[in-house]
Amino acid sequence: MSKRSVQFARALIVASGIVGLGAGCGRGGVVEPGSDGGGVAVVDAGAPIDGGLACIQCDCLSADAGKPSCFDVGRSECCFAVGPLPPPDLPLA
Amino acid sequence: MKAPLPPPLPATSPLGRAFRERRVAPLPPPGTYPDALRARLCEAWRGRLALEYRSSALFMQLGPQLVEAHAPLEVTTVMLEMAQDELRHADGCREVLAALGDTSAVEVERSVTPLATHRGVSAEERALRNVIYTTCCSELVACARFVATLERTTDPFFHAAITRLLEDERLHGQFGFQYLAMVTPWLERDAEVRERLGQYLRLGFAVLERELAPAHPRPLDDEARAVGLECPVEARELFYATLEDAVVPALEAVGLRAEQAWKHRALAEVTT
Repeated sequence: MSKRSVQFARALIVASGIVGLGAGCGRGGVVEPGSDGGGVAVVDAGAPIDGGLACIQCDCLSADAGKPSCFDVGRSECCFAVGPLPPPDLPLA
Repeated sequence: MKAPLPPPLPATSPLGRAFRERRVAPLPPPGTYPDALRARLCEAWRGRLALEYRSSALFMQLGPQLVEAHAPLEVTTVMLEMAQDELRHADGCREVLAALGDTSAVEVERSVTPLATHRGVSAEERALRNVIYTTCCSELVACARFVATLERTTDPFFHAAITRLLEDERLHGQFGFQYLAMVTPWLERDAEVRERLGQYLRLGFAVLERELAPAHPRPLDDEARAVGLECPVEARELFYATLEDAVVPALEAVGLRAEQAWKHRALAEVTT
């Protein structure tokens, strides 16, 4: 992994006028697949769908062949990160 | 509902000319790529085009939300310029595809997904939630991924094409932090807003993780790495590194309980 990428991200934040940027969460690593990093269940990325082409980039829906492209089901973000993602809605309870 | 993106307007038409006058730097000529690699490149850039096009509508909708939040007009102007950036990125993707010999129409989404309104919260808090999610989180991760991709992209054509995207993404990734720095005095005065934002981040981080951290990433072969295709393994690692070492500490620095939210992120059971 490119450490410069994260350094770049931190530099952007500092240049934005955010002061007191700490060292980070301190874990310094990648959370294992399936882990939420905090004891709360996190729902899987998506359910397998029959038919279509396998994703060219990853197994974001299923490791099995014959699954649809992530584009086909509108979940291509994990493979082609560009542009902002739509924020989730959270009304007041 | 999807439909083919209309073809480029000719440079002779007034609107086409007006658009082209503001174009970015030209790209160098592409290399010669094996058919299989070219097909992968076309699929990737077609996907990028569709996502960039969709993204523009999201930033467009943030404009009115910033007006309702009574943000300074400069802030709203920059937001709407960022929406334009996304459209120009889509055009840039179209240019890459044309250079690869792919001029077939790309299917794009015609319906616009309404931006989250967070019913019951103030206009200021609504805009801030959406700014934090879209730019502080989503766009900053995109910046980190673009930098990582550029570092291994040796092909001059794709290096230039990705650099063009990153040039704007830098602002997109910074915008939210600049906005946060501006509204920090308000945040410092309102503990309830800070608390609700912390709760919102629990959901936001979980959704972001679902969208941006490929669950079963495949490594990318060297041929694909050299032409700047995205590496899912790298994307997953960068997602966590960027969140933990950049986004979370920055949000903590403005008084939000981001570390707690990250630790307890969840797709369900979150209320504010």
